[in-house]
Amino acid sequence: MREHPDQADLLDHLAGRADEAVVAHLAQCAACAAAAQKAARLLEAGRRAAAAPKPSRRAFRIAMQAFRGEKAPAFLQLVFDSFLKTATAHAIRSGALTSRFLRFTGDVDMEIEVKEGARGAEVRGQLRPANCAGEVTLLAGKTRRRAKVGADGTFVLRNVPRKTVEIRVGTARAVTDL
Amino acid sequence: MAPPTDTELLARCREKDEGAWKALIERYAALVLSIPRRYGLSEDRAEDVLGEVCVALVKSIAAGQDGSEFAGWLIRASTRATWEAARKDRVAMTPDDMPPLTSAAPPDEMVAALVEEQRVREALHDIPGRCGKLLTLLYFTAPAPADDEVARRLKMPRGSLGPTRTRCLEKLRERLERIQAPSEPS
Repeated sequence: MREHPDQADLLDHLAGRADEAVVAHLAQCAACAAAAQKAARLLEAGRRAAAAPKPSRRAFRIAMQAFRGEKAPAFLQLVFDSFLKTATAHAIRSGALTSRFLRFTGDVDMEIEVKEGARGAEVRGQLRPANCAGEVTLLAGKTRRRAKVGADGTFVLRNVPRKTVEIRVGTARAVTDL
Repeated sequence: MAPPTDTELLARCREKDEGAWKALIERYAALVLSIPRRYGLSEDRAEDVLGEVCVALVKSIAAGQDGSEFAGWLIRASTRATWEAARKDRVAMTPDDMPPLTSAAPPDEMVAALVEEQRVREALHDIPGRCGKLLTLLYFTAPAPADDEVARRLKMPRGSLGPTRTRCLEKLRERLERIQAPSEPS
């Protein structure tokens, strides 16, 4: 190769579109070898940028809430799931287990019991502190269920689809598969 | 028209301009989210980290944040929030492609690498037409698709890839020069 490789040649070479003339030239041209190192840094930075996760709609919503001074929703953490602790796969498949207990913790504590209801699941829960919210909302795709919270912090959600659900308690959220 | 600088956007945010805030978030959300994700936090927790960084940024803007070293400021704030979230969730912070964190402060070389990454991200986003997509497919996607596949995805004749690539690299170079230091006001 008589001429020095340009940036496109170097990037092609680094990206695996091997060109023997470029390889040979780099072996004998210190300036081009330095340019190749610079191109390699560009390649690495670009690959990292391209691989980074794209922000979701929720991420933008949280950012806008922060700007407006609204409290961002906080996710409750699942700390206990009776299926994971006690159930065997056979027990789950055979239907031997009739209810499932889950416990979440975070800004509020929430325990729920999931049972089979007449149409879908029935979710009975209790919040701590008991007076942390007047109602809870459950979202499952386009399905929305609401329940009032009693003075003792208990609530019941009926006819809940067996799928991934989000339970909202004030600004707190809990997500789980039912 | 050149996109507004960080300094301009921050000044408009100080005047409660939501459009400026949205532009700032569109520019930097991927950078902020990439830090908790690379350190093993879930998508939800990473978005919580973004929320905390945004709250800190709103306060910083009110206190006079002027955009100097802005990307570095965001990286440090994101790392601090990630550190706190990971400790709370007991997530082991041992990623493959990032230095191990031994404190809430990121190492200087990590900040420099992320600033460079952000600079390329912005340049690819800002260059017009299909250039950003073409260069991403040709050089920044691993494994890189074959040229025929690139042409198919971009609905371009295979023979025009080479000349277009050269023009696009020139635009990328110009844009990178303009945002030589992305955190500094131009």
